[in-house]
Amino acid sequence: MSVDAGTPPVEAPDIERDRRRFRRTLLKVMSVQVIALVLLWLLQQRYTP
Amino acid sequence: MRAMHPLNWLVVVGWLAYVAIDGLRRARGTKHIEGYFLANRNLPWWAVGLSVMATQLSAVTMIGTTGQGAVDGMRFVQFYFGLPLAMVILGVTLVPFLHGARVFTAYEYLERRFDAKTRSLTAFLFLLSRGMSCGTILAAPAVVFSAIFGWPLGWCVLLMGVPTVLYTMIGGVQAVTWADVKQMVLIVVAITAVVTVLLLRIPVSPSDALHLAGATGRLRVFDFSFSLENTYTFWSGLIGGTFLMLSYFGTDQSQVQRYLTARSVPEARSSLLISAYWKIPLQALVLLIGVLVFVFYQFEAPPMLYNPVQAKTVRERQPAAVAALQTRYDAAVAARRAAANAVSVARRAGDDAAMPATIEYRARDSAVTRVRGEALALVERTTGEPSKDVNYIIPRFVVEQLPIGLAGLFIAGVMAAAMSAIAAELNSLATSTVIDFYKRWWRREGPDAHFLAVSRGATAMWGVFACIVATYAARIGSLIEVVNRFGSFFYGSILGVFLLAMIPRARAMGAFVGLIAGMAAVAAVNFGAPRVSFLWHNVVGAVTVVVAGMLVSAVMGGGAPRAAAEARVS
Repeated sequence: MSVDAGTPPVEAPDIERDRRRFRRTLLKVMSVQVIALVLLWLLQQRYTP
Repeated sequence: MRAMHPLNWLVVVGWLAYVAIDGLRRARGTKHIEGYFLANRNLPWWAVGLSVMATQLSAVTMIGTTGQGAVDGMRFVQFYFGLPLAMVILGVTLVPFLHGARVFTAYEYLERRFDAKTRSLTAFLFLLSRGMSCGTILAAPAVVFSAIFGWPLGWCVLLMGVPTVLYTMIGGVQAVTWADVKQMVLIVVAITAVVTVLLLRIPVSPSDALHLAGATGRLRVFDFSFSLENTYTFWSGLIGGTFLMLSYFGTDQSQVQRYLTARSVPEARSSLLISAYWKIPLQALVLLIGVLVFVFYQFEAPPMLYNPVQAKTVRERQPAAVAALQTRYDAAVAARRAAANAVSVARRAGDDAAMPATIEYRARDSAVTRVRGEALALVERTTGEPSKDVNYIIPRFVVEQLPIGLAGLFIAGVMAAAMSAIAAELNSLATSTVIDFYKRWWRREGPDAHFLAVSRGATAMWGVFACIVATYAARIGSLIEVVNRFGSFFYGSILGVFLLAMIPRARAMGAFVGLIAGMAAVAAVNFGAPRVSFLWHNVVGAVTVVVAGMLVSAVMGGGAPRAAAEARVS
């Protein structure tokens, strides 16, 4: 993952691959969190008068 | 109160012995400091991830947070809403920088990027705050166990402190990480078992139990009000919490060192994502224990005062007043029990019948809370001590109500939580002491055996320091509070310095002046106007450092800029 002045051009696809992986990870983590928060919201709505 | 069954003690002692012996066994083969401090950067991501979680989950979580759930409900979970986002941000920013730089400590990277004084100041601030907090992490469960079991405080400190210091000192980060894995498994098993037992022992259906908890507001998770003074709101958790978690997981050596032991940057990222996925559900489960204990005590007589030492003192000094309060308390509890049963019956008849029963139940619960409030006020007047007994609710429930074996499992879980947090702190304190100070300023070169011996000595020294602080915690409580408060001044500011490190135009002088400005800004909002909750301090600190640091960098310069990537590969 080192980056310096002599970085060969093959780095570009790696950066793109990293970006795609990050977007996928972000999407997965946030999906799980949204599900957790929705469940907590339902718990509050269902049982708090 | 009832003493713990010998079988429970067997479980506790067996667990402590197992962790200590296994830690010592892992000392074999550690011949140099990269192995001792970073396990040769060769640990699997899942072990690192569990170690990250175990380090953050201390005994305070097991007894304090559960107790808070019983008294205050689930809203504390909002504190963690920023954590998943922080983990993802760290995964693409600081983790590749720190892991790629092949450093031992986070502060070492700051010298490569800026200069030695910025590194030394941040490392010194870390040692100061973590050294003291290590003592308080040990003191919190020791004080509770001392009151519950009637042992001298020093014994309780040594019971947890000695095995932890031994396996950390001899086994290094290998022992710490693999002990953390075992401790984390034990903690999850203990929490799940207690929730299951509670659901089985509460004499109403789980739905009725949740209805009773909800009627008193204990299932109110979300508070969308935007108040800078209120700590637990959705916005303070999401925004302030994100900055706090970025500071803690990104710049605190006790956490950074965990993922520096991973085999690669992707494995380090994956280890952090375990917390991103599981922290909120686990924390909700921990709080749910407290909520269910509250419901359990609707049908069983709860103690009026949970701290047995304070209860005994106030009974001896004010027998008539306590007897009068106890009579009123028993009557209020009996009336609340009848109201709780009425709610359960009414719910079976339909929603229309349930509402008046629920209103009546809430009034009865308020009456119980009022009498208990009077009892706590009497304790304060009589003893002159703070009477907050939230930390004693769960330990008393565990010792008096859980079946044989399970009580021992939970107490072992509390000790495991304390030990895993302390071990990681000791390990990181020793690393920073040796790498950022001894090896940087004292002796740069030497045989591996020498640095290994110094590292073990530093671990032992910090272990002894933590035990002394914990033993005298009650007496030096105000000093610890001052240090902890001081610690909150620079947490966000150090994050700001690391953010500056990633900006190519930032200079060393800018980072140093920015750090001072950040701490001053946090001090200003802490003591002066406007007063803001501590979760926002990290936002104030980090933003001030970046703004002041960039201004100074632009105006004063302070040496040629070093690109972040250049610092990483040097």
